[in-house]
Amino acid sequence: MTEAHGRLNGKVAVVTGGTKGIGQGIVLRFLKEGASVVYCSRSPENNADNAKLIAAIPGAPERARFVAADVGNRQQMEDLVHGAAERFGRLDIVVNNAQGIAPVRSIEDKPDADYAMTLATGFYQSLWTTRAAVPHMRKVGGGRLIYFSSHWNIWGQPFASDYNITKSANEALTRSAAREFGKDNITANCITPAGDSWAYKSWADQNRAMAEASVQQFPMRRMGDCEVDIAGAVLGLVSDNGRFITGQIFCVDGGVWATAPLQQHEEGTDIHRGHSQTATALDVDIEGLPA
Amino acid sequence: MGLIEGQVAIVTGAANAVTQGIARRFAREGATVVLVDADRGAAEAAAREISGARARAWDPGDAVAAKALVQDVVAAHGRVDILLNGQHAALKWDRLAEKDAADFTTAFATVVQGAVHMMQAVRPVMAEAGRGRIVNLGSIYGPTANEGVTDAVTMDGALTSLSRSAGVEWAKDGILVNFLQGGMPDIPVFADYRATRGVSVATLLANTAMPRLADPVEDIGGAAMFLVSDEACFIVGHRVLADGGQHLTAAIFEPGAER
Repeated sequence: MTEAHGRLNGKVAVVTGGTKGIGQGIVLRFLKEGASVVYCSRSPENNADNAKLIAAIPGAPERARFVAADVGNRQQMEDLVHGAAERFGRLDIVVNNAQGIAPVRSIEDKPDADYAMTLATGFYQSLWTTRAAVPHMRKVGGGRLIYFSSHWNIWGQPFASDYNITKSANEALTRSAAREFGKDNITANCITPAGDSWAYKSWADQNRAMAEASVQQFPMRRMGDCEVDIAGAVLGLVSDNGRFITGQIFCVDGGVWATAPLQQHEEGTDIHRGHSQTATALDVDIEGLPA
Repeated sequence: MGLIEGQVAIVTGAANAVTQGIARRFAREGATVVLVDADRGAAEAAAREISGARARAWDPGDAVAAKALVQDVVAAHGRVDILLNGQHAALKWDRLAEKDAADFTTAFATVVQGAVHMMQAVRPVMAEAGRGRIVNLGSIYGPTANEGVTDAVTMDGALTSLSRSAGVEWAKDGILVNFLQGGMPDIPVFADYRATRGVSVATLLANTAMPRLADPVEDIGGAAMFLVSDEACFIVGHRVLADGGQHLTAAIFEPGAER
């Protein structure tokens, strides 16, 4: 259970992803704290669950707006950010939560297209929303940029090099954005979460024994709750409490960063059971990468 | 309702203006604050400035007195939710080649042993309640390896490790231990430094992401609130900098020299 304190009253936030798992937790928590929230997913069907949950929060439906958008598409990301500022009159917060994930595969076998897709839906997404958001944030005297990294990146999780590289790029963007936009009173921080996300649940359902053993490696002996634990930290960083915290990577993970890896995957498994993305409809406009 | 309404916080090193700023933030968010310092007069003076605050004298080298202090707080207020370890050794600006090795012993006894004594004293109370928050307070000198204060930098490293280890050991009891480092603070002592080394301060700020000094209540106190409130309920053994990005900037404070 969470306790609301109006910590984001009057603020406007964009959350990429947001219909399930960690993104959903952030959307719901922000709405409960008084923010207006624009969030996206690729398909309106993904929003059915959220719509019900939001309807149950007093005053939230008029402050919530779902947009069908692909985080790997530059135009759609720019439209998402500008649209939020237009609809609610300002923009204070951007949370780059979404990430496309390719099947786990060795560096030797992983196609270039996996790297392009992962970078587009993770790093480029973050870059595009940042560029679009900063002018809006300057207008209101400051803002908060939140990026996402991963424990896989810290530990070089095998068979996910595309994902790990993308998360490293997000960490680098965090520090660069912190340095470049700090003078505008805009902070930039990065979250390394261990939450019972959709991706985690999907893996844990298939690997019960390993999931139970891995939780014992957590100093807190449990996986994080998306809305209470992961969104709690994001809330703190984007609220007034986080106003002088910038350029940092936060392991919101019950302390597992200090102990041992979370989980292992067999090479070649499709951990998201058919939900892994293919490298289509990308908007990565750099030489050598598939368009 | 404040974020920590009705909670009880023990704040040590209360003679320090940064620590006082954090205590003020805790009080503003609804906590009863017990201000502790080796200097009783300083603790009492600080307590007079903060609504509902109490003052206690405590020598960081005294483990027995730490336990007695915690028992007294529990007897008076019924609980201890938060411990902020803010005791610091006085900074003596000289380089390692000339530094008196005994300064390290003094600093360790005050900063690290003091923190351990108070952490061990509050642990049973917090473990029984199934929840507690401990914040060890370092400084920006650590991450920037500022020259001339090797003892303070070393203590910062010790507190980093202490916070991580205690975080790992105590998290399963619901006690979250973390480490907070504030940036160069906007406090009277620093204003004096600024007056004599204006170029150094201006250079630092010009190179810092958020080009201003840290406000003890709003900036460093805000980060402390993040760590003791429901926000950081899944963060363990971690370092948090309330420095506007100063850790990403070169340290430029030189002992005895204007640059």
